[in-house]
Amino acid sequence: MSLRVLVGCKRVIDYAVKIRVRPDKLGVVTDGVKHSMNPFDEIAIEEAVRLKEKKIAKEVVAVSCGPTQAQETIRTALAMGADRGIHVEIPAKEMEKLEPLHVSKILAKLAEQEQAELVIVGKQAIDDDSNATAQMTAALLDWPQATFASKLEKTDGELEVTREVDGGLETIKVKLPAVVSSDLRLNEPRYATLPNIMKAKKKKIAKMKPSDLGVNLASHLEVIEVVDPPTREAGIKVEDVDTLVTKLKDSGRI
Amino acid sequence: MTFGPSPRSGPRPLDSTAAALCVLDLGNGLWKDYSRAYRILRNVLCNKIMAEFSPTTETELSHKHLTPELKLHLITPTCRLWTSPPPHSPFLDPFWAFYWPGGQAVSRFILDNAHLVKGKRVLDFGCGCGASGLAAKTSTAKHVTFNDIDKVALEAVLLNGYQNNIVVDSLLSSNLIGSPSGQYDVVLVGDMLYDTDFAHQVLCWLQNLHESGSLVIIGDPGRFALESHPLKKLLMCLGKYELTEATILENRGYTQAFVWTFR
Repeated sequence: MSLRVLVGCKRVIDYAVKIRVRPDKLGVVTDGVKHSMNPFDEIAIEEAVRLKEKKIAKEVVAVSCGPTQAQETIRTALAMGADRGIHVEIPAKEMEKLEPLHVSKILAKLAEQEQAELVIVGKQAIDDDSNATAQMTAALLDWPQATFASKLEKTDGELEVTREVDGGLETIKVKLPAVVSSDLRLNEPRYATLPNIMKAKKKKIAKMKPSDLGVNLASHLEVIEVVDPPTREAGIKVEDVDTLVTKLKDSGRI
Repeated sequence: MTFGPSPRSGPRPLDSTAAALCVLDLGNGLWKDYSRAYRILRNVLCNKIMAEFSPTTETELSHKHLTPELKLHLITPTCRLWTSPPPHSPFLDPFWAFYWPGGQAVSRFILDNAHLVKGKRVLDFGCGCGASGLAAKTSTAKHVTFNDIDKVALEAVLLNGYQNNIVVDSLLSSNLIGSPSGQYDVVLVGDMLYDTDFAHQVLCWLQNLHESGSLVIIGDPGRFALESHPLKKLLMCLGKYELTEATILENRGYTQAFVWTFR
């Protein structure tokens, strides 16, 4: 059996950028800030391409929901080896109101339309850290889910997935079709080189709107306030172990 | 591409590559064969950009592919451009600098089945580096037309022909899609089916060529545009090749290439 794999990739503020809260405290500054593909989604794309190289997958379709610039994210996915892209256009000003549930509905609908048998997404996006899209997509499709995958192996009609859980590693089997979310150790994405970037320019990106998929972007969540994390206070030095123990006891830590 | 002298008259500075070719040509006694090719080369290389960045200086002569008997000027991991973002490349989309998996499969197939092109008039459509056409020449084709809309690709064909002691019969930079075939017995198509819309145009044209009597030989690594096209049903597989590690590296997601023809 050869699978068609649908992979979600989100355009987020680059992991190396220092995040600044907007003056109105309802979001973060995105204008003029470097963006790139969510690193967990890069891992998801890489895994799908490796499945293709192992002849387990026949086609890898990269999907991104976002403004015009989301196409750059899709091009990156195509340069990594995805076969074609789908850009679900969300106007820039509506991006902030895009919730994991909306993206899940879009992915679920596309998985049906494309007759995908496997959906892989990053376990979370590094901008909102929601960690919800994979789970909700699986629920909407009524497919099994294997989240926080650190290893993927295909057995007859099933996937054997090693998951990173609190106590260590858990290995589960899920029947296909299924939804998988990638954890950090699933693989190490390969750097895209000139030949792959050039060839990616020839690959197709289909454009559509959420309404084309019958997805309504009505908000379910309201942002009340966004604040910077509290600044850490400087530590103190103590003379010896006894003083340390006393200090810890005094501050109620032990 | 015109074969006549450049519109500017008078002596022109020679690019070091052209000068080196000139000396080699005379030394090898091949000057007569290459004089026409040399004139074209000189015209192209005198262009300022080409003088600074010629395909020879930005590529490596590579034989790490399915047709190691052909040495080709390619951008490889040892070249500066391998890791450069496309805007840093002096060439616009140097598709000729990579030996596409489908092209490799067609060239290998032709070298292994020389009887298919022996004494025939061959078209290498979308020739890129020209490997498939050069394979046809090696397999004693009567006449090979190298066709690519990128003129730098045609220059690369000349350089690659020179490197392999193969005479390049003719170069054509027009878009041939839709044109009648008449003049070609065999049409080689290496990895041209990359985009769904474009693949449709190419496949319909190739079907016409097949119906008017040309032998159409298509190489493809299993790209979606071909796999999903209705005309795929009319194709039969002539060969299947495992790609080399170097080729897999520059073609993420593909490990094999196939050769097809119309039933």
